[in-house]
Amino acid sequence: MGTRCRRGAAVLFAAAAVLGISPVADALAGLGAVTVKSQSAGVPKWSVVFSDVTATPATTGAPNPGLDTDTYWWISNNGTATLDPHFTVTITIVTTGGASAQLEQCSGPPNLVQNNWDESAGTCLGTGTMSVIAYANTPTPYVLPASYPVTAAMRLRLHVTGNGAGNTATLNVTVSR
Amino acid sequence: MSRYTTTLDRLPVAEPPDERKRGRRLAGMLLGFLLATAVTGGAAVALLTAVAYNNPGQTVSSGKLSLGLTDQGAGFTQAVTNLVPNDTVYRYVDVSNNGTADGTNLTLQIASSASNKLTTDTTNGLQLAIAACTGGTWNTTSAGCSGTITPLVASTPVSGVTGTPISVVSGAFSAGATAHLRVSMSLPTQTEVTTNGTLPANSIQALSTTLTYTFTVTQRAGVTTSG
Repeated sequence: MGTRCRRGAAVLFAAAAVLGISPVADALAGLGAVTVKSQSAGVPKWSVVFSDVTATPATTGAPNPGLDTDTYWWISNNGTATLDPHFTVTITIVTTGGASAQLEQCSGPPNLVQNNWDESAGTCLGTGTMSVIAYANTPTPYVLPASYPVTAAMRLRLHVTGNGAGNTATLNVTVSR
Repeated sequence: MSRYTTTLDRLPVAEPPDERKRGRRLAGMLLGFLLATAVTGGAAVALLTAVAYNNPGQTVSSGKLSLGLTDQGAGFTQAVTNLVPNDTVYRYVDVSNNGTADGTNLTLQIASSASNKLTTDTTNGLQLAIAACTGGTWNTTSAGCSGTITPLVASTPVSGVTGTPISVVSGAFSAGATAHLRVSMSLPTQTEVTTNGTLPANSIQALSTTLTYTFTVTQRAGVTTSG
């Protein structure tokens, strides 16, 4: 009789399990209330590049211009984050053959896309003043404006100062945070 | 002796007519008794009945356990965008027990629409913290509290909240109670270098997700009440 009872109980528990009924869980169950809301969260991309045209977000790479003449380049925020002094931008010019070159910019009122050069004369427009922002083979921090928004770009000149003929320079820029 | 006597001697002994009637009567009474017994189930037939009931009737009702979640100023409806390392963004929500039953153990679990470094990286991914403004309300502009700021959840990786609920209020969360919560979302200090527009491997950058916050409360423990 006892064995038969135990078998019966086992069958009942098995049937309950098949039906998804847990006698133990049911004994512990009570009222519960739930409330739900969703929120979007995202992290931008911080990126600065050199290019011969105003950069797009897909622009990558390190230009490798010849140093026979001066050349003009854009340095652009092609990421999705507004850059400010919390970010560190570093420019490195690597030359071949012992060539000397430097990157120069003309100061001027900060605009989103700014070219303060008279490129035919090789001088600054208006009352702008020229300053060197990086020397060859010396990594140099580039001081950003207080706010350097997405797509902002500044025109720079790679100016050859010695032994440029037949040699090249590679322009690299990094941005870190 | 007459032949009648003889006849009588030959006939079976018969009861007189009166006795036969009495026997039938007895049989009928017995049958009636048996029928009555069958109908009443063997019980004695009750002839008097008394009933008592309460008037008016007793009211019995069950409690309702229900949670509400509303934005206060910038809440979960406002996206958290453009997070960079060292950023912290506050969002303000009220969680209310708007039912009639007392609850206990308010918990939070977060589901992420995307599985990326934001919600899977314990060290460099999103970090969550929750504080309550007790006895007052939040100033969502200054992040100040007109009451007392009570830390409820210390900074913890979101990755640790996506699998297992965490406790927000471990004790009672009574009917009518409202927790004024400030939910902090931050991206911890970390350094990444983007070179010539190319992101580093396993970057935290350019990622996004949608977080779904689920607050749950359970009923208070059942009690036996007397009187």
